[in-house]
Amino acid sequence: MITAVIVDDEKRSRTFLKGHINTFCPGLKIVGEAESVSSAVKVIQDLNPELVFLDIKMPDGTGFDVIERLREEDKNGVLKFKIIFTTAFDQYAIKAIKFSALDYLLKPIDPEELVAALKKIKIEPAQKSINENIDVLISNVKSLSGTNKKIALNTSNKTYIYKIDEIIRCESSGSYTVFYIKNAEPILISKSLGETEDLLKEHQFERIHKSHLINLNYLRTFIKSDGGYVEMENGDKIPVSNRKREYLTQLLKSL
Amino acid sequence: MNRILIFLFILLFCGNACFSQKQSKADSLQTLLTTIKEDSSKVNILNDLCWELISTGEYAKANVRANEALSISEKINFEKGLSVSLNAIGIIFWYQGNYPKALEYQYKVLKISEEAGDKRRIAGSLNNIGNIYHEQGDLSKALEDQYKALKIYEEIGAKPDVANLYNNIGVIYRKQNDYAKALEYHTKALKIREEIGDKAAIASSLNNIGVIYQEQSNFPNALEHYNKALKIFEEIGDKKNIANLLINIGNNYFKQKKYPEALIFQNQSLIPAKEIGYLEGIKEAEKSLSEIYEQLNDNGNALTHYKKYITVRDSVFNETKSRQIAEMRTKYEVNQKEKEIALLTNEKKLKETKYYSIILSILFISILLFALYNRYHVKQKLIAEKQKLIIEKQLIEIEQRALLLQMNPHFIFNSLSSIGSLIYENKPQVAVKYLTKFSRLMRLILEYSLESAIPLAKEIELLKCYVELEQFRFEDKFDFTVFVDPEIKNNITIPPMLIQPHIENAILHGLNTKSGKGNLELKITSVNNNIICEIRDDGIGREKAMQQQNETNHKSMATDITNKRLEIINQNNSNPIQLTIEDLKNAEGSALGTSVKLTIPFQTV
Repeated sequence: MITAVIVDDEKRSRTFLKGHINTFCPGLKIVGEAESVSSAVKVIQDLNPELVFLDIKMPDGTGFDVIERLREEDKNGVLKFKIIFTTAFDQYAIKAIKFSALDYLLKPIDPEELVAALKKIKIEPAQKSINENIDVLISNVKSLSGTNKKIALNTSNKTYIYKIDEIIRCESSGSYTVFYIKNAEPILISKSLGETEDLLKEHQFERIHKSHLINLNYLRTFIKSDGGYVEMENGDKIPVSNRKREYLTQLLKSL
Repeated sequence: MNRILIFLFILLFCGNACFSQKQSKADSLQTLLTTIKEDSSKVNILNDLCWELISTGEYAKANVRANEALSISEKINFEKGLSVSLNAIGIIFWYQGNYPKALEYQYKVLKISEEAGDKRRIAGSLNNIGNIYHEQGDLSKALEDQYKALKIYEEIGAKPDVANLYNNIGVIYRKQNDYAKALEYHTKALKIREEIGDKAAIASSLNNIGVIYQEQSNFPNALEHYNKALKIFEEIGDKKNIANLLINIGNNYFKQKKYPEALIFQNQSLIPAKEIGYLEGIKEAEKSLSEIYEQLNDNGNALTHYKKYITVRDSVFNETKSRQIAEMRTKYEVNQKEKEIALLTNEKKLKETKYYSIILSILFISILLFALYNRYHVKQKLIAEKQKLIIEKQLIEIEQRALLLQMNPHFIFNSLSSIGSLIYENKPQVAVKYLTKFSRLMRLILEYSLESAIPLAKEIELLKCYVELEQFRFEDKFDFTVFVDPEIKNNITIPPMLIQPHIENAILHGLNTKSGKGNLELKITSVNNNIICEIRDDGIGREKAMQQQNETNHKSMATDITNKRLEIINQNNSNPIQLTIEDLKNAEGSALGTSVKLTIPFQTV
């Protein structure tokens, strides 16, 4: 049995989630509930659950505040539970969560997504800590400006943290994406290139080919012969699709 | 290193294609099983279920089902069912690497089919026998059996099976290094499969063509075909082949001397392979890993993986191992039965929840709304860019509409959650009541987004609807009263949705955080050709609310939008709408709430 706490300021939202859990998630036990930031901190400290469903927007603060307060009050500054964020609509928060590779569910919660999220948590190694992901989350929430933004990359057994401007390029392989990082080994992430593009496009990444997303900051030259390709600073040569050739030319002019 | 690639042909032995009837999802078959007697139809369902399980790699489960079917078929003397089950058991043995047992079962099937004179089944077992020989390395025997099978299929015009045989023969030619012929046969197979639209088969062909390119050292072409195939297998969740493709892609990178890439793909392939106990796949991945580390001069790791490879390799052919598998299987059976029972009870529960239709309609409405919301958002942006080209007045009207639709998404989605909670509380009537209210509100908003002014009565109806939903969502945190001056004529119109954001503010920032029950009042009066709308709450007051907002870093969407909208309306109007906000305080100066007044010049229809 996994023990869980639900944090949400709206009682009806909690009832809905509890209903889902009772009906679809036999291995999960709700041991407590909280309706504000301050009560959440107390309930979680008292009950020590393995999992917390954490609403983002509450009248006296955010779910992120709950995390920060718990970390401040823990003597080692770590969280000992897994988190699934829940939110009706907070685009900025969702973006920050995506960058930190943590889990979230959109309200009204879809039972299938709930079951899938729990399954993912169950298969993760128990010793795998989310504290690195939390670091990324908190630092990204605080620095809204976008400089020095970090991203967490979860592979099957490890979490890698990199600054976004350390990513040279991404290449798709089926529904996986290979991340090529400056001065590091490539990493394979089970996330499609499309999703990756959505995440990174605001950070000067450009999809120059169906299978390639590049960081424009690492682009060295654009060679128009041979069907068109770009050369990156690390020497990688990446093809440019016909559709993007003209656009890329203009883009480079304007930079 | 050359040999490593050869392992990967994906055989579409046509066992399932030629024997079983249409396969539906394992779950629904399992449900069917409980309702049916022990007769031929039960055998058919068990067999279908068995094939479904084989296709998803659940061999232990599949074996239980096949044996169950086998014993019923023997009892009732159902010859066709018997051969389907024998075929399935043979294939499970084969997948688990026990070739002699696999052949034994296939020859049993062949014998029964010949006695019955059933061409389709004769061809099917010939193909499977050919495949087993193939896997054991006896290519000429394999080719012989498969040409026999192909001939029969062409005779009876079985298209998918003809494609399968083309494929299998193509693989054999490739192994005999006859690439031109191999490519020809695979291309033929792909063409038929694309005609039929069989995804798994298309992916197999793509892979096999990729293998040929790879052997000819045409790596980019090979990789392209592999990636296409991998994508399809991921779509259909075929773990065995996901593992196979990841191994192939890894090998492709290895050949190109891109060792780090090769490493990640081989490692990744172990995940699905281990998940379904796919020894052949684990074996190949371990072997490749050892070779990659060798190239990277990491001898420690190279040795570790070589040892793992040897262990798996031995177990594939080892008889004691297959006995262990059989033992494990019995353990699984017991386990599996328990799980199935749990699954069935779960399904029943689902059916009993008759509220699926409600959930569906809720989803539909939210999708519609969201689409509209998004569309207008995009439109607004586009128009803003071309600002100077468009007549100012047009712009103003369109922007107004866009702003109008910015009903707080938090309200929309949280209302839907709240309505959902009633389903679990077994209050369908109440759920329907609020669902209807929600729909009415959305309809009113959609209708009025096209108008620049609407009758006052409609606006009030909309506001009542909205407030009732908020009261429901916040569990009667406040009372709501509306007063409309009876002197106001009913042809008066006002710009729509001007009042709503202020009511939302009062609820979220004034009343929601107040301890105890609050009061919200909407008072509409008429003074000097003006309509005056007053929104008054006895909440915590603006000062305190502001502090809380600062703490949470949240900006009120409502305030933002209203101010912008008022600006636009007033730009175009000689008689501007006025907004005054008053902090209500008692004699000692502590907050008693907030009053917002909108003074709107008369407009009549």
